Amino acid sequence: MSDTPYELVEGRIYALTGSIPLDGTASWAPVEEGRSQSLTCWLLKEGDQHMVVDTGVRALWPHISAQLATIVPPGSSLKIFMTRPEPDAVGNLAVIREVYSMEDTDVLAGGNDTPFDFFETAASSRGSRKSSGATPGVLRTTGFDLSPDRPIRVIVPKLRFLPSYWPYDITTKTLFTSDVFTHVSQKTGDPLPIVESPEPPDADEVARHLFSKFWWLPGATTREFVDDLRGIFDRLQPEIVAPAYGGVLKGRAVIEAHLETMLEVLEGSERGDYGQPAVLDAAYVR
Amino acid sequence: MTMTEQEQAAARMLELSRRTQMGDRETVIPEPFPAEIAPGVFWLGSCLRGNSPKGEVHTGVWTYLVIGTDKTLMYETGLPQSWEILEPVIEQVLGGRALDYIVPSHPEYPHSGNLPNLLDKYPGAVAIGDMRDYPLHYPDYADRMVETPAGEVVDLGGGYQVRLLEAVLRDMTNTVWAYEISQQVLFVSDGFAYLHRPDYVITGEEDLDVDQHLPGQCGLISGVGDTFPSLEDILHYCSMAFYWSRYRDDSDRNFDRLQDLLAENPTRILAPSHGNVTLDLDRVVPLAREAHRKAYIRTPVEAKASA
Ligand SMILES: [Zn+2]
Ligand SMILES: [Zn+2]
Ligand SMILES: [Zn+2]
Ligand SMILES: [Zn+2]
Repeated sequence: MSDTPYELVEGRIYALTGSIPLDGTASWAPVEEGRSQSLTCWLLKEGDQHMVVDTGVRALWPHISAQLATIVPPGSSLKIFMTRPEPDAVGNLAVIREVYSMEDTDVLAGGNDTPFDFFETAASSRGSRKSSGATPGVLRTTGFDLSPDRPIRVIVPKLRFLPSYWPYDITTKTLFTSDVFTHVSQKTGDPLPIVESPEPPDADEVARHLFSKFWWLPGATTREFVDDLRGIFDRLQPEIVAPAYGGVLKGRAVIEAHLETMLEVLEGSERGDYGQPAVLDAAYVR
Repeated sequence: MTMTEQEQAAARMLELSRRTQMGDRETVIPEPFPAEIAPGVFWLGSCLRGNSPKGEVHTGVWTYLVIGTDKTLMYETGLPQSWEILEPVIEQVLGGRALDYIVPSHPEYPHSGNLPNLLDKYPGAVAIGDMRDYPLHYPDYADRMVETPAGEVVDLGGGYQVRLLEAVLRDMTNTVWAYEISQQVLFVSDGFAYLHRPDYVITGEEDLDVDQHLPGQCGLISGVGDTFPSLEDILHYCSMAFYWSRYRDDSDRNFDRLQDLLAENPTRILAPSHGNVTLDLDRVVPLAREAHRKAYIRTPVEAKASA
């Protein structure tokens, strides 16, 4: 894996990325022989302001930290936006806090502090041998400016697993979709896939990836998700979709094609095309 | 200079976050803990305290210890931000012995977040269960994770045996339940969860408007004849925390499966990781079935079609 970050938008968005084999290691992804999934946290840069969207899994920290350091030298100030209170999104928060200069108001998430979302708990997990001691606060926000020229809006998608917030970078028209739109995998050894060809993805492939995490979608009532996703994409007209897992979708036509397939899969879920989830989780009860 | 809508929202959030999250997010150990709910089986953990417009809210985050004559096992790891206050309670229950097995029910932080602390403290301990994801989250400890399929029984000595089970009610797909055979205790992770003693006003989709914690509910066992948890208790938590339950009309399917599991694993004591320990399964299991049924919100389209 390379220690040079991939520059997604010139001078503005960088992928801090590594990959894991699709061999059953991760519960959120299907098993696919010879293939891997990119796990990416996204570095947003505007002048001397920097923010990472998620911090990536702990196992990839050596790559993430090396890539991050090429753009943001250790000791600099850095903001973090957590899309979800899960270890793959927050796993490196504690180590980043040790290496970078962060104020209490530099750790952000969407939503409100409720008894159900555990962002504060996530932010306080040490994740490494070294205890970081203090528990950081989490600033909840519906939108903020990385700089006056770089407004970020926080989208609240209805299709979510745990509480999830998708930052939308208005300037670059990039939507960070976290654990949704994760279906673009790569041949093991290949870099982060960037999809720029508008042919629609294979619906079964989309379904396999989506349902690996969202096990409860087959047979669910999905109309609200279809309408909500369509609404989000109609309203924002994003030009880049940058998920936390899997490849990037680049260009309006590409995004439209993948969105249509995603909506078809969701509609198929409600129709029963994909049956019902196994009550006994096949991957665990073997 | 006028603030944009976003700046105003950010400023509001900043103010709110200073007030409600940085000062007031404490965790506390309920007074009865550690509670021996059956000989050799202990209930411990902490409450995450928060505030609502009406007062204090508690989210219980529990963990359980099973003490066999040869080995010891901990189900769940407790809140990471409670580690300093949990550690002495764990030591007290273990009585100078080591911890041998840790079963984190799933990778979410309230369930697995103290895994590094526990594995550091007890160098002979291993984590068991559905271990997918954990090596990615805790790579320093990957060699101390033992993939242990559902159905497998861990013998702790003195008749204490813990069987790992698939989770019938869950959020993450790699959730593990467990059953202690001699004392007939079923550990159900996110199943049967509720906040202790809130009042409910649910004003909108994501809004949790009112939660009022009543004193004395922390660590209180729900016995035969008790009236808590109520249908609203379980329904509220389930529709908030099991987001899927709003979109799936499958309560009967899941609870039929739960009945099979209970037949195979006769249960006297239900030990959830957020709801309090429950003895009256005859009352609470049908209540939870009803709560899951009610959590399902049909879409307007469907509702219209069937009207
Ligand atoms: Zn794939
Ligand atoms: Zn959970
Ligand atoms: Zn939980
Ligand atoms: Zn309490």
